[in-house]
Amino acid sequence: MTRNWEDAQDLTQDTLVRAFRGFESFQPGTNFKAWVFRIMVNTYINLRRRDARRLRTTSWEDIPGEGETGGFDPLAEEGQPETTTLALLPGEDLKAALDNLPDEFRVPVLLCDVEEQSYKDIAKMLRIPLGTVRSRIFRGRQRLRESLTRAQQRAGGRPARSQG
Amino acid sequence: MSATQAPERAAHLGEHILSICPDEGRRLDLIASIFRAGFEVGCRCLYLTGRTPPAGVLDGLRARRCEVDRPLARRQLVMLTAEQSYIPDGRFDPDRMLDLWVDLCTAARKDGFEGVCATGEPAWLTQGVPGVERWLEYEARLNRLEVDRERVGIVCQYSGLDLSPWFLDELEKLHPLVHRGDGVAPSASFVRDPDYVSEVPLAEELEPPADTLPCDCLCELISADIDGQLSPRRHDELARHLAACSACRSRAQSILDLRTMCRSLRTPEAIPGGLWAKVQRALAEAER
Repeated sequence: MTRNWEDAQDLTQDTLVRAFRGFESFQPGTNFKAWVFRIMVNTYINLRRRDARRLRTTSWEDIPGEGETGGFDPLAEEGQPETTTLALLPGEDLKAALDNLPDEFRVPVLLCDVEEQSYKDIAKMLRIPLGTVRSRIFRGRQRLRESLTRAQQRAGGRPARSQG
Repeated sequence: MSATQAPERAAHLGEHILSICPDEGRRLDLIASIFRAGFEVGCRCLYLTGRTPPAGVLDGLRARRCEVDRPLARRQLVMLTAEQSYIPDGRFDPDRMLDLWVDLCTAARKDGFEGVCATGEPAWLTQGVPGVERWLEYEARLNRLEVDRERVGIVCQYSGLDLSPWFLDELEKLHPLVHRGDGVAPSASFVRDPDYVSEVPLAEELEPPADTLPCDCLCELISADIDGQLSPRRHDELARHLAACSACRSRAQSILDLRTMCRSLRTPEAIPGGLWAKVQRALAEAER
């Protein structure tokens, strides 16, 4: 989530401290992992707020509109990147592409695709509506795919092939 | 609350009101009251047209001695169709609509008005527009619009629309005030907790069946289906479409491939040395 190892260590430590201190608020029988993730996401937001350098990206409190949503047509993309086959990319490329996503897409995609959390739990963790979670995961994946396709083309290896 | 308080209250900036009028006459009375009060305080008044065409609404307002022609000429009154606002490309996107509100408020201030006083009826809600299932989410997010809320008053009219009791109950949870044809009263079920936004349900009952939608409206559903996040009915509708459409099957496969790649990133990391000691130290410090 933090994009680098040192910050990840700090985040883990702060999350654990907050989880131990707030353990009374955990309701037995509910999703423990989602509870810890929610603390982690809150801690992450707080850490970022403290770090003025990183505040250039969008705040979590607002629900920004996408610049491209006005004329957004998922099928009109050049070469239909959402159906192109991505050759097996090194994990580093995927990590870099994920890191480059804006937070409002990156965190929902990480929580869903990497951490296997449900949309309902992600909505609670991020305090955003279910429909927003669904939309951000979809748009985040789409951006990720576009970025991976571009990386692949830049690498000059195999050009993206269309499956359709 | 008496009926005479309604017009002023309804036009108060900063309010977000649910209106369910028993008949068209009282609906037009309400619009006339809102606009009169809005003009008086120097706001730009917006009407987002629904079942009744703009000309019909304007005639109704003239009949109620509500001045509309001069305000229209100086753009203090602006009539917007659903296509100019909610559904410009035949689908509803809450992000886009919330952005439009921000733009409308900014434009009103730039043009020298005190704020925006808006009302309208989303008559298209029951017409199977793609994206309509996110309507409740949109209403919830309207409560925390990214503008100076004290400069925007919005009255949402749901009179005469064929909506289920469940949907109307959900709407009441999302509007601090309710108008039922005479007075404005606080909503008995309004949820003040800002975290409630994550509990707002999708309004599946308004959605058109997935297998009647064009492919470009299905991409997001395909993505959610891969995550097992669609209702059984939605999933079955989509499965029928996928069985018949190779392009969408290939889109689904491509999302699945991407997710598989992402899952492969999930490798356990070694717990860094000294982490527990640091956590214990921090906890001990916090205890002090």
